Amino acid sequence: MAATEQDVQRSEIRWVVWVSLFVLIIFGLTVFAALVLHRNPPSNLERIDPKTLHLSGEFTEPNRGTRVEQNGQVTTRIVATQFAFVPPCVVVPADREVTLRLASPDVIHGILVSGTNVNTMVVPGYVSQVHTVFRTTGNLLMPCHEFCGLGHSQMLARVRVVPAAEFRPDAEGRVSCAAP
Amino acid sequence: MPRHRNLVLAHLWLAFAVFAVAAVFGVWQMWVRSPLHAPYENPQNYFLSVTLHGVSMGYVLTTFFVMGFGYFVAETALRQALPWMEGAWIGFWVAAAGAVMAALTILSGGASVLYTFYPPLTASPFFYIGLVLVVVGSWIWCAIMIAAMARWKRANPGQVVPLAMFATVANAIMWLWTTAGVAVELLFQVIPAAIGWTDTVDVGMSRTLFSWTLHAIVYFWLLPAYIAFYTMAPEAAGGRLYSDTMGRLTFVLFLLYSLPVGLHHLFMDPEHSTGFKFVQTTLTALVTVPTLLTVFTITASFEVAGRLNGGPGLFGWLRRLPWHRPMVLATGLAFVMLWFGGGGGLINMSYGMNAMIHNTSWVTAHFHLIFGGTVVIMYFAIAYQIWPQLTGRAVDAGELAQQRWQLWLWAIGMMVMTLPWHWLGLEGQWRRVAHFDYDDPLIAWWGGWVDLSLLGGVMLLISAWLFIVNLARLHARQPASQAGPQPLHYAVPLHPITRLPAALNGFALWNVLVVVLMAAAYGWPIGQFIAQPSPAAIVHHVDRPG
Amino acid sequence: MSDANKDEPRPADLDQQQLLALREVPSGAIALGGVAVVLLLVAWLLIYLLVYLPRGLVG
Repeated sequence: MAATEQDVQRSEIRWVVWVSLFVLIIFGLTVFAALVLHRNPPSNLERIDPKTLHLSGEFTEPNRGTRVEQNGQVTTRIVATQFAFVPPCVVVPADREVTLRLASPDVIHGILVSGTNVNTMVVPGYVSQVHTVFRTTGNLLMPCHEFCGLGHSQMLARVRVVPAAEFRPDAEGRVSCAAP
Repeated sequence: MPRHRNLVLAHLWLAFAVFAVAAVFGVWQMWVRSPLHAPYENPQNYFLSVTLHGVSMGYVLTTFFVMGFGYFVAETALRQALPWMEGAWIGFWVAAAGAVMAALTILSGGASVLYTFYPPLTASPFFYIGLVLVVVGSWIWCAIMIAAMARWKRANPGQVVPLAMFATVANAIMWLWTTAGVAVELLFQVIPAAIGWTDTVDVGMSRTLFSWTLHAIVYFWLLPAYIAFYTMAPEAAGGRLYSDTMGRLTFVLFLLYSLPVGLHHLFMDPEHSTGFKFVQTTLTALVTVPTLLTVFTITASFEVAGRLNGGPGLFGWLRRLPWHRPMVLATGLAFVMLWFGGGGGLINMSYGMNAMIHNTSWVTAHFHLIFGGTVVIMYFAIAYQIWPQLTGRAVDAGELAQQRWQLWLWAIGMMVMTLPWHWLGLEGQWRRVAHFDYDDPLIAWWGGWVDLSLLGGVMLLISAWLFIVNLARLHARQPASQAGPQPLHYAVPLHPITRLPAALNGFALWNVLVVVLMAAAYGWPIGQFIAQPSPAAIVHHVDRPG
Repeated sequence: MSDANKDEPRPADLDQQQLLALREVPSGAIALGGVAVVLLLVAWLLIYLLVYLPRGLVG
């Protein structure tokens, strides 16, 4: 079969065509997941000043944690800082779209939520935004997964996923872990 | 014996000595992360160790190995003296001084920022200056490699540049392009901040510039292993290289597609939008092609060897290969690890799927397996192959057996260490952690798997030290009765090369394409930080108290 | 390469018997490589279907 250099190159090209097909299948399924199944890397490009985010605007104390907005959207705002998440525990409803928004006033952090596809870096200068729907109830781990200094190992938050019936916002639309 | 054996030996011994020490730190780190209690366990020591281990393995072992092996290839494949010996030694000493400077700074506790050193965490300026010196030394090597090939072409007009050297120069050119990203980050952002000239830093810009280097650098590490696959393994197997032309194309494809893909390390980052993340996903899919080509070409080359040795049927030729030769054994083990490591890489590159595993132990497992496994096992094989040429001393059967033991132990240890790690990463174990609270019911079950992974690490440490012993033995004086080493022959193609397009004998065209691809892939992702500056972060010095 | 190193001894060209033995090349490489690549695709699909999709939306 490989009697001449031409035969050799022909066999190589045939191989490349077949493996390209296999790469294309992977690529196609990835694009399908992105466009149709709504699974994309979080890529909302939004800037925020790390030096003032604790003083004014969206990430001040009254806004942090989970809040149901006027339009019914559930938004959870968390500040990632050396070496704790503020607040360190959040409540989210199951089977409903939740938007997580995070910002850092100091160094790079990152989060994942165990058992889900929620994963994002938190880069000072930017707001990180992740949309998801939590399908199973229970307590999930949300560690800081990017090295942020010597206290990195202790930086951990909890996400409590509750069934719709137990998700009761107060008068201002807020739901927190401390609530009975 | 190559005339410049001392130059080659200096580079390789420095690389391997640092490797042997860094391996100890790696195992200690795994011990700390496990449920077992480790001595000296605290965050300061842990992150110092992670920095030292990463810098040693990722920047020192690799750069010095690539340089030393490159000098060896330049002399033996081209059969000509190096163009600028004095420069080669200057490069060595500059790089070595830089490595020492960085190491001492890390050991002092002033640089616990890890080998990725993401600002605004900022170390002592001596850490970065040390790393810059290592890169500067390597740039001298690049210049000498390019000059050596140019001089050979002038002396041999119309001739085909030997594949081993063509690939080495492809790597040198790729390295020059690769280091541009981190060089700009260090010179314009990080070092001024470390010295104290600036007190804020644009973190989006620095992460993006670093990503330019971060992916391409792994190909800088990988190309010598592929040079061994193409130019040494077929010869050691007793066969021919199936296609020299496709080999050249492979190295050209690496030069083109290693660089414009760095954004796939930033899939989870908020400073880039979907568009460019997707563009670079597509380019990353293209960089799988040279590896898939290599898998075929080298397997076919081994098939040639096996069939020449009488191997029948579709798979019978596998049994007829000289697996007792370290280069052949290492290639087989490397390909097994490449299946797992490359497979993991396919998951990482699949855009949204990256969210499953980003910054988990899966990532750590992936690069230990593909680099520490597939690539480093070939570094061992290359060393075993060329050491007799460097010391003038042949290897006896007993020593060959020890080499094979060491290679098996490395491959098995790597699998034992990294497979549980992949699994734990998929289950949410995150990275760069000095202490896990195994009392937490959500993570208590990880303990057993982490212990298993640690066992793999211990096997690797034993293998690493066995490697050093095996090399050291080859410096001992040879018994007079034993013949000297066989001369080194590079692999010969199955069919003699009759015609070769100039494009596969030089790099002018490819350099132009690199510029085009990088402009398309990185132009706006970097330009945006200049056109639309983001609020900067405050520099956070880790080398100052409080 | 055979033109490049003039002072390197050229290996003997393959004789008829050897060329006969090489008739099957690269069927073995296609078989082994093909199996490896197909298994890789299967592994990727399993993770896609059994881990990635069940873990829910992200974006």
